[in-house]
Amino acid sequence: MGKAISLLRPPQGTRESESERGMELRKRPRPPLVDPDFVSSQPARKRAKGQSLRPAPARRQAMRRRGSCLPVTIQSPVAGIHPSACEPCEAPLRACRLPGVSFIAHRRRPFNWYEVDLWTEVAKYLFGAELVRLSSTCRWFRRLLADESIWRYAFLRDLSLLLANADRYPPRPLHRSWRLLYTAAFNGAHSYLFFRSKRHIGAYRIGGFLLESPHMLLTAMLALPRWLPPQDDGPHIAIEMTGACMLSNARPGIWIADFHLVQCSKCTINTCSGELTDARMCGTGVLQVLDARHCELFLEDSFWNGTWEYEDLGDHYNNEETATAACAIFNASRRAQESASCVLSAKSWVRRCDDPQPKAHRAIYAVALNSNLPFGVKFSSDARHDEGRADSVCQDHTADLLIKQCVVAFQEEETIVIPIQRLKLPLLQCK
Amino acid sequence: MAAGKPVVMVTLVSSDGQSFQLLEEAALLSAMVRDTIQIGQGRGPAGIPIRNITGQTLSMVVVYCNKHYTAAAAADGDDAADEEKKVANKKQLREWDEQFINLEQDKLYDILVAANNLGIDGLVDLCCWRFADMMKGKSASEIRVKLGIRDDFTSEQRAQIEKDSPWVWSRTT
Repeated sequence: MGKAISLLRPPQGTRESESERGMELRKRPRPPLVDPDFVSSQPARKRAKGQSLRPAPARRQAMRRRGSCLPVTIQSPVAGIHPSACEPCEAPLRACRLPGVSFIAHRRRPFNWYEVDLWTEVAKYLFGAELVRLSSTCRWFRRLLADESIWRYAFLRDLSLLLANADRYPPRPLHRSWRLLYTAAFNGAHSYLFFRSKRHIGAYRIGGFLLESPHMLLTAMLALPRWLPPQDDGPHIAIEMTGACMLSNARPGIWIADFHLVQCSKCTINTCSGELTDARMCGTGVLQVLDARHCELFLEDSFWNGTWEYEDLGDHYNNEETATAACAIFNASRRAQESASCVLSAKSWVRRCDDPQPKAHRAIYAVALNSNLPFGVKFSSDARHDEGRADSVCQDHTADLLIKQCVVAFQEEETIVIPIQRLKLPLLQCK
Repeated sequence: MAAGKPVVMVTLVSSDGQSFQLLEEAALLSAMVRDTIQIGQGRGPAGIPIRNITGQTLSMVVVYCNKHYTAAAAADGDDAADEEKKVANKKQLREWDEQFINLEQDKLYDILVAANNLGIDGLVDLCCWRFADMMKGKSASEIRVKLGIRDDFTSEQRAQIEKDSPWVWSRTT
């Protein structure tokens, strides 16, 4: 509809001074012809289809009759963004438009970059930094790209959480905008920025997963524990005995899993240099850490100012020689069963045993990390749960290789769920 | 294309009078053509008039439809084809798409508008992807030049933008 009208628009109408237009409008106040929301929200495709099939002569006549108001009310590409398009706020947009376009002289459509539907579609392919850059080009883009749905799409897409059935998404987090969530997740911050930062070698993004219920299961192997001590005994005992524990107070929502390489503080033979960035090379004294956090963790002030409290969950040492080290996090809910079995079927994703590079795997409700150990090494796993926030299951080996896998679980008063998927976008390389 | 099925051709007529013949199945990629045929029109020799789309643009759209129709028909043809082959075919098609859409901005816009009018979802997505691709790695001022946009922010707004997302600006510099 907007298109059809734009063709009717007088060619030079846009060049008139804004004040004149404003005056004219004030003299003859009229209700808007068409509800601007309706104009913008109707999908362009349908518009086009209807247009080419049924020219709707009646409507055209109506437009002609009220022609004087048309250019202002409907043609504004911004109609849906700020419905009060009749007001002078349209001015900067017109200034932005390509000069010298005559809508009547050309048979083809006006070359109009300001098309809401078009740019909403294009935005689906842009990453956060590009969205921000585009929105800093002019006011029109800034208004358009401030739309929450665009940021929500980008957030879920970049965490590989876009699912076919949208009803599975956790509800929108309270009090937070998707743009802030996106920023917190992708601005390069990670859990090691605050402590042990000198030892941090590299971070890789594994992806997002969902916690539907507050029950989170952490294990130091790619298998479900056959038995767990009663939860009343606390996670220390469970971890010590089985290398796994169940938390019942994790916070439900979207969790983000990262993979970190960190130099080990306990290692006595520490020949690693700081440039070590390739996981393949991690021989000595390098911890491999699986780090998971709730997507809202970095929006907490107390996290940034260091007053966030952590709780040690426990340590688990394995004194037998083993060829692989792994750890996994699941949501312990019924819906998560499929994800859990997908992650636990090690054959489908674990690297061949002669490839020492670690590999992570993510499903919707679970995430796991596996490392093949080149030497038959002993490993220990140590789980740290920090006062509601961090769980780490860590495994370390003899002095030669130390693999540590840790989960920072963000748990609050309520629940947990976990999803997992494939890895690995290099997030950033820290020096 | 199942054997024995009569070959039905559809004619599309562009706004400047050029006509393009293509298989009906290929033309059915377009929702608009689909609707027209469903209501019993468009099969005649007069063809389906496509308003607002020039012959040059329509020819590109027809090429796209033909390619995607043949690719889909080939995929249907050998059901036994193993997964690997399917993935390879898909990848090949994607490469073809990317080469096909590697166009100047004006042309791309024409095709996008045409695809939108005709209701070809795949082509709309492809064009949008290409637009996004053109935006990638460009600074705000480069985008402005590319799209012919004037910077209409006040200095306060600009400061606010930079304050809002320091992570973007620090990374680009």
